[in-house]
Amino acid sequence: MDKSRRKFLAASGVAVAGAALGGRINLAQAQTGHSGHNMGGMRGSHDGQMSGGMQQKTSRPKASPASGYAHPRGNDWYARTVDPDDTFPPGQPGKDYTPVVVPNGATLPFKIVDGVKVFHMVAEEFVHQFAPGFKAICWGYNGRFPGPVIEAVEGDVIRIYVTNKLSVPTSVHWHGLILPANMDGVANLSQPVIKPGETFRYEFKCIQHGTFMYHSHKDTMTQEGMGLVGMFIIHPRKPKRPRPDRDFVMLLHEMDIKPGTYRPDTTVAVGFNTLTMNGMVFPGIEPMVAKLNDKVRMRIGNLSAMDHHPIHLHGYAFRITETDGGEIPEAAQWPEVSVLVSVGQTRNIEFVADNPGDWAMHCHMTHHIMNQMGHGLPNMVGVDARVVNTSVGDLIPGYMTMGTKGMGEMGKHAAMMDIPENSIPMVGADGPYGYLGVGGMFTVFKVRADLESYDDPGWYNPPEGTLARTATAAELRKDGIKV
Amino acid sequence: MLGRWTKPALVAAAALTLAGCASISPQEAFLAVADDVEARTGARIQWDSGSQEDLEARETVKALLSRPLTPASAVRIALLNNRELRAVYTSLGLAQADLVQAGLLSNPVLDGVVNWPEAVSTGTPELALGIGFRFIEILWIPLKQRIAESQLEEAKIQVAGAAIDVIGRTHLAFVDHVAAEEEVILLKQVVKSARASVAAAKAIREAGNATALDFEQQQALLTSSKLLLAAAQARVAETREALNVLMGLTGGDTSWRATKRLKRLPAREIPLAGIEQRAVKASLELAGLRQQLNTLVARYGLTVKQAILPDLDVGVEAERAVEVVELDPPEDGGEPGTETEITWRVGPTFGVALPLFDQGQAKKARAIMMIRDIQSRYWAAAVRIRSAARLARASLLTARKTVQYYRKALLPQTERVLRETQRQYNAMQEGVFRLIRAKRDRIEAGRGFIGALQTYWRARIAIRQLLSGRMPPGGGGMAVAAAAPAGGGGGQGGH
Repeated sequence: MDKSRRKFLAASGVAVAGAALGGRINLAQAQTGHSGHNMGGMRGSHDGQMSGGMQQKTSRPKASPASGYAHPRGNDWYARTVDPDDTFPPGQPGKDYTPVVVPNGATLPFKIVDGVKVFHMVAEEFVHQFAPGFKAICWGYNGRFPGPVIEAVEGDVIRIYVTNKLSVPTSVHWHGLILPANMDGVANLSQPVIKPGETFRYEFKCIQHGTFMYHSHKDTMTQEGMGLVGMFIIHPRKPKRPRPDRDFVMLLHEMDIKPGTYRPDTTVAVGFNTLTMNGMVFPGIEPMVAKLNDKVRMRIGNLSAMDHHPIHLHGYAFRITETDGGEIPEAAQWPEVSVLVSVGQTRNIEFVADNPGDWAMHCHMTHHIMNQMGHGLPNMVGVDARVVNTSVGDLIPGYMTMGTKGMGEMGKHAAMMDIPENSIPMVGADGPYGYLGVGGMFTVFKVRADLESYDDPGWYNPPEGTLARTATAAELRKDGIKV
Repeated sequence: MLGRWTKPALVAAAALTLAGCASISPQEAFLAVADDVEARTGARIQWDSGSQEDLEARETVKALLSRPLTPASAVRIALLNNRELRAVYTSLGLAQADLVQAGLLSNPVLDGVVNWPEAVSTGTPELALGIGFRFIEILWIPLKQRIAESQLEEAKIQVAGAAIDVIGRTHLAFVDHVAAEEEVILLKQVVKSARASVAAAKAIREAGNATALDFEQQQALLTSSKLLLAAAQARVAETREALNVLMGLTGGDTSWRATKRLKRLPAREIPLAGIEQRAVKASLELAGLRQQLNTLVARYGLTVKQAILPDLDVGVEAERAVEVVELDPPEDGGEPGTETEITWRVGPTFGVALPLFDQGQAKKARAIMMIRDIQSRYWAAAVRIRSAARLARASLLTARKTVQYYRKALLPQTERVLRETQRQYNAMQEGVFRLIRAKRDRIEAGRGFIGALQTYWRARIAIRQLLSGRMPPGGGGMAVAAAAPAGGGGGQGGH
């Protein structure tokens, strides 16, 4: 990520985080605190927080029953490995957790100020590249769509500054996190909006672990649609199981960017044409690489506007081990080959990379592995192109009928044809055995026995006798296959 | 009275004696008209009286028809060959003859009276001869000549106007004809585009990929395109026949070809400053009315004089009285014979119409009314001409802007739309029907452009006519049913 963006505003000299609260408040009290909501009351509390509310909170003495907030503990399925009231030093990468791998992405850097992990996010507009030759003006955090992954450890107290460099008000919602209601980031429900130019401060303690997300909760359709989304990973303080060797994070999203345009059309409700994994479309997506027999976790979140994504991994059966709601007891984990990640959900899948090769991993909704698909065209499959070529070619020189054999031919053609600027319609990439006519939510999971690094090892070289090929006449004869 | 039926014969005799007199030929008047028309339009009219010239004209027409017609050659042919125009030319001859006539005195009238005596046996009838001569005509001749001269001028103005009308109508018919032909070419492309849509729809339908509705919509579009083409082809025939009539062509001569395209916008516009005043100044209609006024005033003057001077017949009457006188008996004692004694008595006779009742007051009032009528018509014509000039000017400027807008904006825009549609088609974002539709929109813009250019040239012809002294052909209305691009897209959707 761009280092220049990592400016920490007024981070020093801040008092000990008020969210790192000690003491307990019983459930009844907490519930009482939540009851009696009405619109007028909400507005009143919202107004009350307009100025200095947060400062007031942070300047309070260390957590006590009188602090007004007790960590929720009413549901025993919350993913916890330690007591939420216990305090811990900020978790350190490598020591307290194995950092996640974010293909094509980054994690958000932090610094520690008085035992608090301090992050800074900047919501802004920039040009994002989805794949070579395909860019658009997007919104995101710190110059990224999706925003950098926030990585923390259960028990960490974190403080996140959010600077709004957009021309519109915004807010950030910490999706799936159990935190004080007014840190939840819903504009005008849990907080006032962050006006353009303003910097807000969020501060809370991570009292659960798991795979979560963050996104704008102001004019959500537009702002999430423009790319104000990201992943939020909280590692367990005391993991019950060995840490994975490879812990991949992937956020699914979708936009509509018509060929020849430069900005997502967030009013679109169906037929999205830009289906992204970590903001990239194939062939722009980096492969995920693992060593043979690595323990692999994949954390997949979905902040698409309107589509769920059944993500299918070839060559493996895996278990769905966690949702953003918590861990799934081992006995309840279903073996699967596709994991449906619905909008607003995360899923963790885990497996041992015991099957070497180049394995496709993709959304199984077939329109989601196309780039900039045009819709509403006449169905040309099976049409006798000669007749049409003659009569239309006579009218429009250079006309060529397309789509009569489907879309497979398209990617290759597009490279040669005059197409709109800023478009990669249905473009795929060359594979080891020919043209890969896929795009969108498609990537390759590469498993190798001998790896020196996790850089892309190139195409898989199959062992003798494991490559499908054309049947010989002798083979057909021998097996009695008539063709 | 015998005199009644002898008069025509005598007039005819007098006319015969004067035949061949130089002043009876309208040639001079025609040359003056030809000069005037040439000065106003740049085109020269001819009046072929001799067969040699006729032959030359015939050759010229043949030669002009052998090449593609241009507005100029069409006008030349029309001026040489338009028979109605030739008929108008004869009015010059009539007026010229009237002028000559006005200079002639009425022939004197010889009256004769034969009285048979009661006793027929005496055998000698009495004769009374009188020569009547309307002496007062001598005074009227200059006045009558003035009237006839003025009427000749009126005729010249009318002939010039008729010639300029033919020029304007020919120009207009030519523009309409070429525009109609261009429209046909473009509509053939529209039909071609509809055919392509049908071919695509048919192939898609045969593959099992389109509904009968999809296919029928394309078919219907093709059918309506063909109807448009048929209407345009009829318009070509109509405008062609209008030109044939104007150019006086029949038979094999009608197989001419016109230039293929309307002239593009001239770089420079006709100077339009003071167009109203210039049109009024040039107006032959107004000149004609002024001339009518002159004629009337001349006639009015005459009327006044006649009112002042009583109608006076001056003549000489000779009377032969026949008396039978009994002669004295002869000295030889024979039968007393009779002798017919003939004496001639000659004396002046006159008749006077006494201005007791008709003192000319009614004639005078009538003349005044007629003058007022012309005055009013003059003003009305001037108002019409000024309005036509303003309208033509506005139409010309609007048409020029419209043509430029088509050329600079819509034509390149539709071209770009077509290119971008092609690119979107290549990217499989648009289907074949949208691509064909973009092509059709391009053609429709071309139709609009031709319509605008036609409107421009019609306006330009209107201006030229006004500055040449005539109202624009077709009543000065510039509105042309410009080929409005068929909007909408019924059945032309993306499918």
